Amino acid sequence: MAVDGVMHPMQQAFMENHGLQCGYCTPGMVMAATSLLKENPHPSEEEVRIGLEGNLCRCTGYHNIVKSVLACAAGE
Amino acid sequence: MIPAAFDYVRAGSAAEAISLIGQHGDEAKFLAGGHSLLPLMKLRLASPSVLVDIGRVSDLNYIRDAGDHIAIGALTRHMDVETSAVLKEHVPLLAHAAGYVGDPQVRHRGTLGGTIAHADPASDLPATTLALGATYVVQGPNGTREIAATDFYQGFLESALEPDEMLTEIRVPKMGGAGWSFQKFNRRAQDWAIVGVAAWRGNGSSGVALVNMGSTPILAGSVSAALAGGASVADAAQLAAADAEPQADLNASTEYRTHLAKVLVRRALDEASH
Repeated sequence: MAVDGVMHPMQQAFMENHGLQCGYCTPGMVMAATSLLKENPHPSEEEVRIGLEGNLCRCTGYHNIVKSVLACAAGE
Repeated sequence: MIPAAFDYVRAGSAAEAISLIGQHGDEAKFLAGGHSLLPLMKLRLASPSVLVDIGRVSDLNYIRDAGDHIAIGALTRHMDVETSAVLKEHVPLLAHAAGYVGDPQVRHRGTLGGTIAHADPASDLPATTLALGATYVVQGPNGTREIAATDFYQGFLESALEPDEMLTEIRVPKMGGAGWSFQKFNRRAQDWAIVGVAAWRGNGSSGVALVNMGSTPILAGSVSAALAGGASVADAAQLAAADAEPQADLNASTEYRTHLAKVLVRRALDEASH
């Protein structure tokens, strides 16, 4: 997703919002979140949670993952 | 969790797929989205020697208004069924039920035709299309034929499809504003239903079908007959399991499934009657 070493806005949002801990689930989360924003550019928190369903985070870092996606959607 | 060895060929069209399956005989299987077949292969419950991949036959991915019904290409993915404006307007029960299949990843890969051809009684959309009175169009070496959903499901994972036939289109009658409901009872959000119910009601008619209440999707004809005879929703729902033969498994006993079916059919009919 990164182009010429520049992170995709979703990757950047994950980094800035502590959206990853061990990083194992991160590729799937970033892909699912990017796909979600393509279909629904301004989701509610609940829509983000539903949209990421099926991606499991064993660090249980869901709160900051959702926060990252919302931040990316808000263009922060 | 590792499937037995198999050969893989990819078809570019329905005709090519049928020709390929004919060449390879009974041991070949069609691969669409793979979300039913591959888990079976990984558990070694299925070990086809050849997979004929039809996942890229793009002309079977469509949703069209065909007058009195909506025609859906067999390779239309669940996500496209769920979000289709045409289906939301004319067959909202099917669009809604598609949103209950698995999770977003599964819905982006799995296909409507795949789940119907797989004929799993625990899947949501075989029962939903059965409740809606759908017709399935299948293509074989000698042309196409139509099979009513009521004649299609013949046993556990067994359908009326011949080994060299391919499901190409699902035709679902427009609901014409009928009330509807989809009820799915499970332990975790992404699971198969322990029991599910798809129901609609309107213009003095109704359709009710059950998920995971027997070896096939079950049309609850006794419920519809009772409603047509003037029975109340509560009384009709008591007949929910009259046409079913629920199995016991780790999740539920036969008695519990029977109870769930009555409760869920009542909820579904209450919602559909509003």
